[in-house]
Amino acid sequence: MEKKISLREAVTLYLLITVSPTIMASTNYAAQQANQAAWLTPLVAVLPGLFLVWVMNRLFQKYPSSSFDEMLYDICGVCVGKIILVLYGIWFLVLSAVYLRFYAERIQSSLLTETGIDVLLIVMFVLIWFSLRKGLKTVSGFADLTLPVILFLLAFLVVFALPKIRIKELYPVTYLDAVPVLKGGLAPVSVTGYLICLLFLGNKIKNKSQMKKQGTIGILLLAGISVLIIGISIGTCGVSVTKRSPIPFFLAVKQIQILGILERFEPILIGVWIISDFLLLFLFIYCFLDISKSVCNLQSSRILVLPLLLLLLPLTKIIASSRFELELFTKNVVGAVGMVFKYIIPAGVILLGKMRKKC
Amino acid sequence: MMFWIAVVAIVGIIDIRTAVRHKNYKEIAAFLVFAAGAVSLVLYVQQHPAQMSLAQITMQLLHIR
Repeated sequence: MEKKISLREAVTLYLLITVSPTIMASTNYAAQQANQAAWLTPLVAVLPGLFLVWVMNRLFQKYPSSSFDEMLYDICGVCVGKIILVLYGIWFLVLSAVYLRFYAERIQSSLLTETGIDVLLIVMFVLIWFSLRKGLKTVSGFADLTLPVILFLLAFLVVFALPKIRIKELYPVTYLDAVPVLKGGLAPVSVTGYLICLLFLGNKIKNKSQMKKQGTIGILLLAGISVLIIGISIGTCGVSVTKRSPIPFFLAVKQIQILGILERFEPILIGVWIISDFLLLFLFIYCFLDISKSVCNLQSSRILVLPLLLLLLPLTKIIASSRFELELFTKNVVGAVGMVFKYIIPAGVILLGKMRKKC
Repeated sequence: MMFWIAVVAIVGIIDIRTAVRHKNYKEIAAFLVFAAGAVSLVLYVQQHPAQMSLAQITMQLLHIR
């Protein structure tokens, strides 16, 4: 029997996995849609995030010791529940391949330009393999220890990037920006939706009665971090550069100088990314294995770890032929499909549960 | 990739031995299905390196340019 983690540890894990997508995807997309008002876009994600917290709270109250698969079987029936779970499994597999490719491309373009993509992938696979063997408790403990360090490092970068901010890049913001801000808010809404992963960990989380409180804190903290990251990227680099650059926050961090002597703080950011990517991939693969275990009625999914990692290696390569294509695919397909899995299906499940008087 | 397949095969044998000892035949079947799928995909990618990516196929199907 695997040890349970506390809800606080689960929310910590959630906060850490959202750091990488926020830096990578939200900033660029928000700037493209909302120009100088892009730093307001994370606030759009607060309401959908709170809705998700409410949905999860309701489900956790009704099913205190179950995970999402058991809830689905009870509310939708075993057959429909298994179909939905298979779809979630495919989604987690594609997400894992997409984020693995992003991780490898990012490291290759920013740090290890001569290193092959296979080497970077295999290093991550070995790390994930070891952590999957150790279990969720070990990794959430690691996340719990890492969060204060990462928050301190991000605060450090933010504080020293502040002198470089040009306020005129962030203003004026008028009522005319409302629609672009709502459009730009799609990326933060998508990132916030990764809270759904905690639903799959339902039977491994203790004291779920605090979901409302802890979930709300997590959503608000994520919105605050996102506002800072997007604000600093736009304020430092300007809207036009932020729109065109794949990772604008990286450019903003590159410009940091302390007293004109200390500079080049971007390795700190790369370290934060790698930790966030590792936890993100761990969680997605863990959820996929849990789904496989439930769909195939297995006692343990441990035996599937290696073949799954072997499957992910070619999948990561054939998911896209270039970084440009990968970004286009993520923006147009993965993001849109993700909305269905993150918000629409859980909302549909709770609606069906209410109709069948199970929630 | 072949090196990776060899590593998976070696460690997989250990996992299968444990599963056989505990008579978890369902797990062995699941392992074999996953492994067969993974090896097929690896060999397919090696033999057709210039095939269309999944992103291209999906975006063509959805008429996204």
